[in-house]
Amino acid sequence: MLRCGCGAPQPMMLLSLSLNSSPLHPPRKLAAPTPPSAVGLKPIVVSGNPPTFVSAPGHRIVAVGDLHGDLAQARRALEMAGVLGSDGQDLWTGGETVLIQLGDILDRGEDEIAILSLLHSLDIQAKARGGAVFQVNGNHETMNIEGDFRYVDAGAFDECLDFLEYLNYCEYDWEKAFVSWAGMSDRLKDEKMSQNYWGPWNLVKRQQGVIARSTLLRPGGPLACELARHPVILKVDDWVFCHGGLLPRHVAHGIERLNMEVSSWMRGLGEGDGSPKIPFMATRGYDSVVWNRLYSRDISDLDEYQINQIQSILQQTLQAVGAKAMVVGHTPQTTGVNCKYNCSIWRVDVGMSSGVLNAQPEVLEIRDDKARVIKSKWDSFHELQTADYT
Amino acid sequence: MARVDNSSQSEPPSLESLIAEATTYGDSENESLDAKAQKALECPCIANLRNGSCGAQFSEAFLCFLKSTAEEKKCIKVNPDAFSEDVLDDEDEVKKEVEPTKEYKIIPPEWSVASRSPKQKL
Repeated sequence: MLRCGCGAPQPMMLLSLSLNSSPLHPPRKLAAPTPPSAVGLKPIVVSGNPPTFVSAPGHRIVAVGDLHGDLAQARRALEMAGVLGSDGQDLWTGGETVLIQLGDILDRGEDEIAILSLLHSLDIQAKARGGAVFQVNGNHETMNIEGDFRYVDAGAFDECLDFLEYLNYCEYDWEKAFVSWAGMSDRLKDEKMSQNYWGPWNLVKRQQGVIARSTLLRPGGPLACELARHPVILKVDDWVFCHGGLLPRHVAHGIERLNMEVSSWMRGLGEGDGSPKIPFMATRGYDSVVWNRLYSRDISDLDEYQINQIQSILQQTLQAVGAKAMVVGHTPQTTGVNCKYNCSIWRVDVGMSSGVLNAQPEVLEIRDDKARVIKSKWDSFHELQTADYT
Repeated sequence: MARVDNSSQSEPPSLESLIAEATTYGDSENESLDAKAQKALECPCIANLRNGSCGAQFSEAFLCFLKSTAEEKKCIKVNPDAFSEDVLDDEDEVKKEVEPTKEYKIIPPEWSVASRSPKQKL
């Protein structure tokens, strides 16, 4: 029910099986019930479970970095990206845009499940309009599933408790509770008095919160299973997205294989001898996919030979995976979203969460393989104005 | 009511020890896992959760949790301070564990522990 393995299949609402066949996961088209778009964009095709290879030719792509539990900043970033309406209704306004969130939604903020819920709701809406929302898991997602709660915000434990209560109220209908949580949690906050988290009464509540979080996020827990629907490595057309950084040996191991290994671990699936091993290559160590900062280091700290070496590794990786550039989060960029190494790497984490740098949100937009940074609402506003004249 | 009286300790109990408390409440080696789990449910520290409107569901979930983490809990009992100083420092220092990867240990938040550095590093 609440735990002990996730039997529930993925919500396959708007997915239809494609005509191609591959042994495990035939690519599937995200068929839209609406008529073809005015500009004749081809539908998005997804391959792999969790999604690994996405074909979205001609679709606008926007990438958003680490959100760390800050729902308000997340909404600002999504509005800036032109995918979320600003009327407070949490409506997808992105049409056929593909939104990609680079991980680290958990920790350092108190609105984690709300953000996950919002993204899921947007994905459902987007698919109905020929767009899509993807997420990759970051190191804070994998840490929490391991039980490492070192960076959890006090209020996040409360959210776990409240969400479990709500899930119960929804009679354990996960999809129903999860999709509606973002709106519900807004309403709950309006009603609640601010609580002082310290004090003897709240010690009890804290314990309950830890138990609730563990129930949700331990391997096989319902929220862990939800996160297991997302990959750690995602390739969309000629772009590859991951939280920390992809290396040649990750590609050699197989990115679809890595995604499946992480997903199986999150779902608590055993190898016959009990719980699965933690997939180290993807999730542990400074050179794992979700922890790697090789491509995110400040260039001014590096010698020339180091720069050349890193560039060479990056090129090797891109070549191996068939991509032109990589997009990563994970390392807050105090100068804002930027690219390095001939713009083969885009670093999109700006530390926008109030638990990190409380920086102004910025997002990356990719159109026809050209990337640009959107720094303010004004940037997207200009875009809309220009579009009127064409 | 709850056995979380701090007066006998110089610092507040760690969250891990509080969880350990619930799960070891009334524990004795000769009992079956079921009996132990039942007793853990009776710990006053989670009484209000059990007696609330979602009591039945919580109890069921908690029981499942307890039974399924029997092995891991032994480790929690034995190692109430399951983290060490050097690990608290920087999240970059990811520990390459030598212990079996099947263990599930809850490492409590930094802010719940009396630590030297007031602010979390990035």
